[in-house]
Amino acid sequence: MFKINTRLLKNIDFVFVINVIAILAVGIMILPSASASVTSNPLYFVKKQLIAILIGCIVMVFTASINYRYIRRFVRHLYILNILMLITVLVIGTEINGAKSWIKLGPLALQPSELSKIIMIVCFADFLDKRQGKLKRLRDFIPCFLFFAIPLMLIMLQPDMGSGLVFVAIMLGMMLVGGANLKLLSGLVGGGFIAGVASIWAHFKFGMPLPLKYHQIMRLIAFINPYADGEGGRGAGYHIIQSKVAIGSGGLTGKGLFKGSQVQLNFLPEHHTDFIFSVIGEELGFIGGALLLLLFLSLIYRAVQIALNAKDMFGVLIVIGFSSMIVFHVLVNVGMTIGLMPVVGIPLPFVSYGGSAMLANMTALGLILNINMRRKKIPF
Amino acid sequence: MENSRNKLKKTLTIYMAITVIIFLSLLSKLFFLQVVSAHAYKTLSDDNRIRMVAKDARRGDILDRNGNRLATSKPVFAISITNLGSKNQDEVINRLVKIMDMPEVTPEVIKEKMKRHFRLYEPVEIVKLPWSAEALQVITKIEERRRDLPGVIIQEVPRRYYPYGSLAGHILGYVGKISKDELEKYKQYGYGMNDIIGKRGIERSAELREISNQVVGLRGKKGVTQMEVNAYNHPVRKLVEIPPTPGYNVELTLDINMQRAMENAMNEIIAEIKEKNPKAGAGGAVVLDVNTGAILAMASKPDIDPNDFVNGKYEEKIDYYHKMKPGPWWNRALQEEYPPGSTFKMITGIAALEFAGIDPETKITCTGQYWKPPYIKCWDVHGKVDYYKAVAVSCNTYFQYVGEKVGIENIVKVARQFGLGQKTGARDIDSESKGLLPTPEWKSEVRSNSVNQKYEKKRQNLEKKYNELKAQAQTAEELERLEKQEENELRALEARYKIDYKFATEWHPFNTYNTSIGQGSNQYTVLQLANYIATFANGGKRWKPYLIKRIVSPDGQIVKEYQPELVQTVEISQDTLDITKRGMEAVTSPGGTAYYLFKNFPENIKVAAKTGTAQTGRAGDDPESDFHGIFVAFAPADNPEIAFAGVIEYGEHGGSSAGKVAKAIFEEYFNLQEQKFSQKDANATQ
Repeated sequence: MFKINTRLLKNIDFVFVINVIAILAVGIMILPSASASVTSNPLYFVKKQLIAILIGCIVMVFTASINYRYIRRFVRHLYILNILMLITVLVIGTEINGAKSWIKLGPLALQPSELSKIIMIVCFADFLDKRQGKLKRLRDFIPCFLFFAIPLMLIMLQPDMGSGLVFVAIMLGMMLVGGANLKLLSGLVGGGFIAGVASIWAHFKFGMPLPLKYHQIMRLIAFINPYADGEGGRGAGYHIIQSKVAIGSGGLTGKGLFKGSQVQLNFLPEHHTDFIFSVIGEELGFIGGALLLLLFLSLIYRAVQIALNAKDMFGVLIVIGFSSMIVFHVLVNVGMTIGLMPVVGIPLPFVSYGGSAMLANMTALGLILNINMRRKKIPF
Repeated sequence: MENSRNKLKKTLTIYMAITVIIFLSLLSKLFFLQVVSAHAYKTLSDDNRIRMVAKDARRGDILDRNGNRLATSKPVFAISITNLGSKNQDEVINRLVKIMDMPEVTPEVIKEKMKRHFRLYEPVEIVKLPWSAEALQVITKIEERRRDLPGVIIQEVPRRYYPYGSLAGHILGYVGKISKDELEKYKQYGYGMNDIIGKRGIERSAELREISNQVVGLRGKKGVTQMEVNAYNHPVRKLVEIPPTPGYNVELTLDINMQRAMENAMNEIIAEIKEKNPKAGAGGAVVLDVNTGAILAMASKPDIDPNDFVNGKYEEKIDYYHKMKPGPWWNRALQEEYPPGSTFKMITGIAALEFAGIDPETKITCTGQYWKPPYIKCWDVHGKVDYYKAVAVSCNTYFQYVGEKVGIENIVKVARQFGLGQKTGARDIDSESKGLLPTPEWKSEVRSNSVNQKYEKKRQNLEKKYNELKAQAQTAEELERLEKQEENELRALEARYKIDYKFATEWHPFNTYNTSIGQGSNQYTVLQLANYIATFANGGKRWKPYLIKRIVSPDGQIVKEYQPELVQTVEISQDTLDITKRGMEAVTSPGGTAYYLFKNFPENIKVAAKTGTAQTGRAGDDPESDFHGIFVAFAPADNPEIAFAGVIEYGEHGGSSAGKVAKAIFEEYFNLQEQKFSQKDANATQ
């Protein structure tokens, strides 16, 4: 059962694989430059990232080799394991940047919420598959929401708003493909969006209380006008301003690796993690940035093709869950660096520095390849 | 199954469409930032990282005519610290404080300075050390421990220094921080907020001049270093460095040795006089080159020391500068007007010889006062005096007589030709006063206003009084009576006004008498008097006084040589001038009022002079005992080179006060003091 059937390997979509490798390569290429002003050893972060990729490859081979349908037997266990893991981080986790999202194991710091996303994709795929054709009315939606409610609540307790939103995005993407009533779903998304905007407006206009701290609210709305962050662009708007200046000043062709003044002189903070796209924008220009976005788009397209040819709905939903996660990460991450989205701390998949996300993504990649290999036979 | 496949395909198409829309919006925003607005963001990015740090230029020196440095810039060690943002900044500060070991330098002081410093990329100046043995020791110690003191910088910065202290202080002026108005005025020359600019004297007038489309002057051009800084405003590297260009040197017509001789003599004499009259303490004097108008020496007492304004002593000496009376603020050679007293008599004399046909040999009799009212007194009973004796003994009676004969119009005509009562137009100096030459027109204009005002007020009071009375009148008869009374009083007032007006505004004979002897309303600056004497001495050429001889570039090239400028040639016959000169020579001859001053001068250096003693005309002064001492002279009499004019306030007699200053000047100029010195030396060795 762990042996990979060589016949199955022929089924692998190599364009998809090359696409992933290309994105990883961009990440590895930009990382020394992005971390040059953070550490004196330019290869320090690259080394760690490469190790994460290497371990990720091993995990990927593992997840690709077992038939994904066996996993369905363990979804209950996985779901409980996920919740236990999220409780553990709340109890023994380490707080970094105001969020208790990390578990320290010696020199390693793991971020359980990254793995949690993958587990939720698998579990929810199973959950939805069993309810196929039964997502017509609002009350059919409620079990889905409840299914996500507990882990989402635990994530928000850290608090990790970024991951929480990723959960919502995954859920919506999967529900859409899972056959949910389109009108109802888009009505809910639109309504939720309007409710969110209205409550923030009411908060400022009438002092309506919100379960968010002032700086969290400012981070959410500062992208609209970063100079009006209450501190003349030195508060919540600072990141956005500096990131836009970095990307904008990169122009068409960029300033060249290691030559972006915004990055190398530290005007832009956190540029090797959440704001790595600003480094790409400044040093590689519009050509580099657009190329990376097109690589991601192509990746999603291939994933959708894989989903289309999956053997069963469980496989389809896993692939869509994963691709929804990637799309949302790219949208929010790139969006915040160019002032299109609120500043929500989520990384750029395969590119931002961070081992946990890399491992989780590689695991998911393994699953997709798994589904890809075991696709339905195409009748000739 | 096939049915659900199709449905899946449909939803996945929708899914893909949403994804494409998301990516397209990201791409278009990216395109907008990086292609459409790239230029604007590039500018913002450069604003972030590039800072300009200005480096001050060395100011040009001011030299006297012989190349002595009167104002220069001395290197001062500025010890500064750059905020490197390192964690052991505090340690570095503590070490530095320990090494420097100065009571005013404490860690708290340094930290406070760093906190108040906004431009973090610029070093924060901790202290300025003037060049001294102790300073060198501190510098050496810091250099030795350079490695323990990252960010500590020692820079040599120029600071203005006036080696001669208060000598010529009023002429040189001083520099100071630029004011808001100056900043506005000199906007096009690129001054900055913290710049130093000449505030007064030569420092101000030679700050910058446009000569053949080139800006030259004491001020140099600042250098600029373009620095790249990081997000914490700490310097990363130099991008461009333009070194500063030093300022131009300015050579004056002044002779510092004469200036010293003049000021020493003034100090000595003023101190003596102050013992007798506490109101004394002030004076002004000028020496001109009679053939060019070049100012060789010019002094005002009490003096100012320009160093006080650059090294911070000014604050300590604020009482000296602003509370003491008489104060040092004004330049008394330029900005104070003094009655000329008898030094004016040559004007009257020249007018009389030239226009009234007075024969210098004709004698009149002085009985101690003029024979016409108001019988203005003479110093003495001079008996029979001719023109020469009249000048020599300064006979008031004689000059009142000839003044009356020639008339005020002619006196004014001559005085004007010699530049009295007008600005000399001197270049390179601070603003000068105009003085006052009294004329009938002037009197009528000035007095008519005051008389009119006085009577207008009286008339109004009268009307007011009667209006009140009339309002209280009970009967028609009473009202009529009051009206008649008012009319009478008004008529009487009108009559009085006419008499008063006539008297006050008309020029009376006694006005001429007073003017003839330099009293009355005559008021001139010392510079005007000096220029009048210089004009007289050189045979009638009135030059425009000036102070700057030339401007020399930092590499020694003369960029501008100033030429003497002729204002006017007086239209007086040579005979008249010669006769009057003989009179002035008689002043220093036996029997003359200044004989005792120059009797030891060699034959070939004959001094022509005139003493003056003038009522101060100041409120609160006693016209019988408070006199300014005035003295004018030139030498050598037969071939004049230099002219002198000086006023010692409350000096009582011109000869014994300002005359002594003239003596010191001539001794210095003609090298006559050697004998005195050698004698002194001989005494010392014995």
